[in-house]
Amino acid sequence: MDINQIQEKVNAFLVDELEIDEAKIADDARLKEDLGIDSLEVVDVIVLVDQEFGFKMRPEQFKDLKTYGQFCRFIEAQVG
Amino acid sequence: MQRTLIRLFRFLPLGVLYGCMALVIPFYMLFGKGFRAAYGFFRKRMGYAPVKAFTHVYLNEFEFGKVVLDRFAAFAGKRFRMDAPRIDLFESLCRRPEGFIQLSSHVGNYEMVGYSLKSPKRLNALVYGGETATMMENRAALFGETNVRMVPVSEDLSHIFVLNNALADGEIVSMPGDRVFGSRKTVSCRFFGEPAQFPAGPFVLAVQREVPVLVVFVMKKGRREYKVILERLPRQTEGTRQERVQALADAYAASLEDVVRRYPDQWYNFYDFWK
Repeated sequence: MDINQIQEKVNAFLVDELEIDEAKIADDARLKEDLGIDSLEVVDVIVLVDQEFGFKMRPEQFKDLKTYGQFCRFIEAQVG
Repeated sequence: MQRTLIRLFRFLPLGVLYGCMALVIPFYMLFGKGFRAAYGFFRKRMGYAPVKAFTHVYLNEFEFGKVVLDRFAAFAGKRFRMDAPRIDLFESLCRRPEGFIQLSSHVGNYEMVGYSLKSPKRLNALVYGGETATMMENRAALFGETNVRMVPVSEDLSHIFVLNNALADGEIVSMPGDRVFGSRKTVSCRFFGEPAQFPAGPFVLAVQREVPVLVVFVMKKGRREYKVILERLPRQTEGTRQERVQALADAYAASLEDVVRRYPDQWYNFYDFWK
C-alpha cells in the first residue's frame, strides 16, 4: 500500500466519521490543535488503524505523532 | 488523617463518626464553596421553599459525609449489605463474550459496589488522578478481591488504549457519565428541563465500539445498606453516529434525572451543573 492509498483511507475516515473539514487536512496540520483530534477521537484512530491497516497501535507510538503527515508516514512504515 | 480514620473505624461504630459529622456540617455549609450551588439546586430544580431548601443542603452535605466515611469504614473491614434486585442485568451482560460499558455518576456511592460485589468479568474503572496514596492503596486492596482494575487518566493518553483493549477483550469499562475530564467534548442533554453538558466520551465509545451500556447507581438506604439500581440504556441502531451518541446520552440524562429526583440529597455535584 503506498502513501496515496493510505492518505485516501485516512482522509475518508477523518471526513466521514470524525466530520473534520477536508480543507483543514494538510501534511503539517497538527492532529490535536488543527484537526481537533483529542483523547475522544484517539479511540477512533486506534480502531481505524486496526481495521483498515491491520495492526494495533501502542500508546508510546501515538504520543510521538503530532501531525497528519507524520501519522500517514507512520502507517506507511508499519504496513510497508 | 485518613490512616487515623481507618484505625478509628476498626474500633468505633459507624454511628459515632456519623454523629461527629453531623456537628461539623454547618461549618462546611458556611465556609464551603458548594453551598450556593446546592441551595440553587434545591430551590430552582427541585422547587423547594427556602427553608426546605436550606434544610436539604444540610442533609445533602451530611449524606456526602456519610458516603465518604463509609469508604473508610470499608477500608477498615466493615461490610455493607448491597440490595441489587436487578443484578440479573449485570449478570446477563457478563455471560456474553462482548465487553460493555458501565456508567457511574456522582450520586450515591458508586464505588461501594466495587468493594462488595465480585465481578465475573474484569472491570476496568477509569479514575481521575489526584487521590491520596492512602486512598489509592486501600482501594486497590479491596478492588483486588472483586476483580476491579483502576485505570488512571494519564497525560500520554495510554488510558485510552487500556480501555479500548479491555472492551475488545470482552471486559467491562467503568467511567463516569456526568463529569467532563480528559476530552473536553460534550453532548448537550435536557436535564431537569434545561440543557446541561455531559461528557461525550462514554457515549462515543459505546457507539463506536457497538457495546451495551449499563447505568449503575448505588444509593444509601440505611446505616449499613445500599440499594443498587441498574438500568440498561436502549441502543439506537439507526441514524448517523452523532444521532446515536445523542440518543444514548439523552437516555443516560433521563435515567440520572429520575434517580436524582428520587434521592435529591445524594447528588454530589457541588457546583452549577448547568453552567
